[in-house]
Amino acid sequence: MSLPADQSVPTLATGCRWATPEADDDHEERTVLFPEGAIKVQGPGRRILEECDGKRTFLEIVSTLERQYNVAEPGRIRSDAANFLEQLHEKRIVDY
Amino acid sequence: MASNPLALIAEITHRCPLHCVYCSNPLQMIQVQAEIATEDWLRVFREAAKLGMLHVHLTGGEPLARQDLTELIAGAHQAGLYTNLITSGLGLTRGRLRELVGAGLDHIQLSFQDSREAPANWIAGARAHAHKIELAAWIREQRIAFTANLVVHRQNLDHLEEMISFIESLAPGRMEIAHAQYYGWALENRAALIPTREQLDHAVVVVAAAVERLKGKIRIDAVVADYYARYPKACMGGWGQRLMLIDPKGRALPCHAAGVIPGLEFDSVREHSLEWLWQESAAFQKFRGEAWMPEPCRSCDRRAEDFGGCRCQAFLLTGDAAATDPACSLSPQHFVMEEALQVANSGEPVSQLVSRPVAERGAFGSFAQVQRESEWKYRVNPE
Repeated sequence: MSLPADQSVPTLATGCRWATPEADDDHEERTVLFPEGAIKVQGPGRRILEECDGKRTFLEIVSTLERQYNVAEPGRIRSDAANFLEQLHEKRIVDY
Repeated sequence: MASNPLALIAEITHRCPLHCVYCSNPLQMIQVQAEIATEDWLRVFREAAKLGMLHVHLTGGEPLARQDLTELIAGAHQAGLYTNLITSGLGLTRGRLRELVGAGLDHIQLSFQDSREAPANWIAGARAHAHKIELAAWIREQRIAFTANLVVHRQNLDHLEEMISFIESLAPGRMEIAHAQYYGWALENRAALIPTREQLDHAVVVVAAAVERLKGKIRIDAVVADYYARYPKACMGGWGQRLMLIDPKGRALPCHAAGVIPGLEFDSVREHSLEWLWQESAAFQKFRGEAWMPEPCRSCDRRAEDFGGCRCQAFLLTGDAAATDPACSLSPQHFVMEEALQVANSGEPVSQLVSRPVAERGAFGSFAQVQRESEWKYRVNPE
């Protein structure tokens, strides 16, 4: 298993998709549907996943997030996002 | 109030071109004329989504036997449900698959009976294997979620590694390796299906190795053989807790097999809303929660984990649906499992099962070993 590389292009895996808005009564949360399951994401996790549009590279996604979140510790957002995506990759929810 | 169900199992027909010896359908099947109409299903899907359900599993029988399948998938998709088609693939052409995907099909679950053609066709009672392999390529081309299901049992566990490699060659995103569960037709054929202890131990090692090796490539989900487990399975995630099944004639059941339990009445979507069925119908309340539990479940620390196991298995094996599932080592009736396992592990040839005409058995080539060891009771079709 490996973390996404700078030039990786993360995207929701085949067969995984966002639920329609009506399924999410609480608008802080959004649901990702996949075979036999679903995960709810909110906060930074949700932001990371929403950036994974299959067009932008991991590096571009990290810079977008760095502009949105004010985190003092350098490299923190990058490592958090990489670990988060790796976990979802293992579950076959995200591909890169 | 019960919390909302998560998924709907839509058993849209009992018709099927396969006759698998471990089919989970009831022995008494629902006839075509009694099946509910397209509009009924479309309303069910809208109500399911409104109730907070996320997934619909279209199953059967063979769902492709319904001519309105495209319309049903489109309706479920428009309602906001994640649509899963559980199929043998028989009758699915490349064009019809494209049409189903266009209608909003998210996931297809294709069952395999074996890696080898002759035994696969033997188990299914139909020449299906070669077509399924061709279909796998068409599914990948559609870029939808693809699960390959493999039912494992006494007759095929000795070449489990080969079967896993075979499934791997079809490149699904997910592989389900399920030990046959003994309900319906499988219970009729249990003696010929139940694995030996040695087979089971070997399978555990092989599956664990495959999970590790295929990580990130193919996700593997395994369904255990509860006869060999210490504790029972958390059947359906608890009775009336997560899942609702609607059968071909519109009756709402807490699980596939619930029809075997005497005294339970199942209300229909023809007369009631899904919300009413979930909250109010007697069948869903019968074993919901803990009030029905006998000892040792009632005071057991595991009762919130496994809910006392499976009600249908409890009935089928002990005659009492409110008994602790005999799969549990703490059940006073656990000996019924142990007896079945003793027979399975005795080294004796499997005894003769329910017979069927030899001419029919010969129709699918010579799978000599199975024929010698036992006779099968094949799933029939509704009239």
